[in-house]
Amino acid sequence: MKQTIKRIAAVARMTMSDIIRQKSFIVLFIIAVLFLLLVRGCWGMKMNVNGQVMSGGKFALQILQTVFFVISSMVMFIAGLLAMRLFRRDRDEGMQAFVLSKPVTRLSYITCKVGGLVLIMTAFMFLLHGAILIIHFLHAGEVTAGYLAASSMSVLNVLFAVLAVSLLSLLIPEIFAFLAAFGVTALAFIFDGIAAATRSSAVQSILSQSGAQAAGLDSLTWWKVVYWIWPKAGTLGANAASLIDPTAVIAVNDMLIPLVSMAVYCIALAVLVVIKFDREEIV
Amino acid sequence: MNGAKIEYTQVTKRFGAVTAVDNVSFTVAPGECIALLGPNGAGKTTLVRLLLDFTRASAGTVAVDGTPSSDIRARMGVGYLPENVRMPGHLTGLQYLMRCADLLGMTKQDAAVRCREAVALTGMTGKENIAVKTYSKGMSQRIALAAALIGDTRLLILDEPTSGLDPIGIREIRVILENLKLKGMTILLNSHLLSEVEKVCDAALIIDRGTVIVKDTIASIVKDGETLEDVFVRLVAPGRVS
Repeated sequence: MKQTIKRIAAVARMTMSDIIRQKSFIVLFIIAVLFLLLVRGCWGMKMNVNGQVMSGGKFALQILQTVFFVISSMVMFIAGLLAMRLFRRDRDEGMQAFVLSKPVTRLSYITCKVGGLVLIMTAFMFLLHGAILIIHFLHAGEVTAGYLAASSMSVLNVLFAVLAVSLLSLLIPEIFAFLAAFGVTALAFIFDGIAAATRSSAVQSILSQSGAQAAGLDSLTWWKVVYWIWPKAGTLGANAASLIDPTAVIAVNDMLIPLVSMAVYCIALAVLVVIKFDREEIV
Repeated sequence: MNGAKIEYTQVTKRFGAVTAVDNVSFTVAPGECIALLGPNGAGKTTLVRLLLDFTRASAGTVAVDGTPSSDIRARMGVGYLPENVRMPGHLTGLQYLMRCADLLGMTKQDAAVRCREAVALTGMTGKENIAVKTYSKGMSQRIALAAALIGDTRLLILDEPTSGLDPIGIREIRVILENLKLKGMTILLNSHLLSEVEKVCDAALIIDRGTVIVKDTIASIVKDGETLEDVFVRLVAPGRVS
């Protein structure tokens, strides 16, 4: 048992060290740092709403939430990019055959590969989120307690991106796997955005002017089914970002539904990745 | 050292409509050095891949010391040198070996000792701290062989170990194999270099179109006045080569 754990840890270490030394990871890391340096200036901005200057604290919190959401989405995107060649790179460098010729199960190998990447991206995301919170603290003097919970929730989106791209990369060429997974995620963000907009008071008041349309919202339509089935990556990200606002009130259902949706998708994808990889020919 | 026992029992492997290995059964005794011989596409590499569980049999079983190849315990003490050696170019030879030791669950101190031993055994001393991307084909083969020998290797699987090597390199590999044979290690050698096979191996298994044509000791297969190459041509391509 001890030996097995040691071997699994060895594969995970190997995966992480290989990811960190990748040029694409370093470039993306530099871009992320530049992004942080650029958004720093946002805290000094003033904003007029209906001729009135928005209060500094509230405005700073809005910026914090937006940047937090952007970082989570960016990390999700980067994780998908890195997942694209997660298995291919190992195959090309002979590491897959090398590892699997040792007493390492395919399940351990795949868990370490996916887990290693998710762990690296989680640390990367926590670092970026942490940096943003420090910037916020320096400008607004506020400590946001919900940071850890918000960041942890976003990990589910990262896991989803890694698993979706990994699975598809076992079925189709890597670039198409990334584009397909990215397409699904982009649609999730769009659907969730539209759904959030339709729930806003402005849209509700417009719709309430037409009785037929308002009734239409309550009826079951195909697009509603698609919306409910589709992964709730956008809502999860937005909910996570809203957690850092101590005054925000989020209904338990609104918080649970995207969490359950993404958890179910992650479990299903993980099972499919394991099944598919178990049937793979090792070269 | 006790070598491992290999058993193929009525093994069939199909890739779609193509049958790569057809109802093959044979046993390799502990400490035996056996060559897998056959023309291209005969099913030799498939037999090796089945042993490592890189591919799964359509029917039958492959076992190492009675443990099915699908069980990771079957890969305890197995060293594998692939035909096309590929390694992450940024690693040095020693780092590559340390990764191997890490995968075997060795402690750092133990790993360092074993890696130095394997480096010395394969004649790579002094070159182990150079990045593998600068290695020649022969050096890569040797460091990969060193990786296969780390740990308590009881079964060594070699897929074309002398491919691309110069005559001196071939000879050096042969000397290493002869030494390992003396230690009682079971060696499965997949090679086209029949003259080398004749010098190193105790037995040979000739396979063609997925079926075993002959499996016997080299001494029994090769008659007086013949070479292994003559026997191979006679059995695999009768009438094709004069």
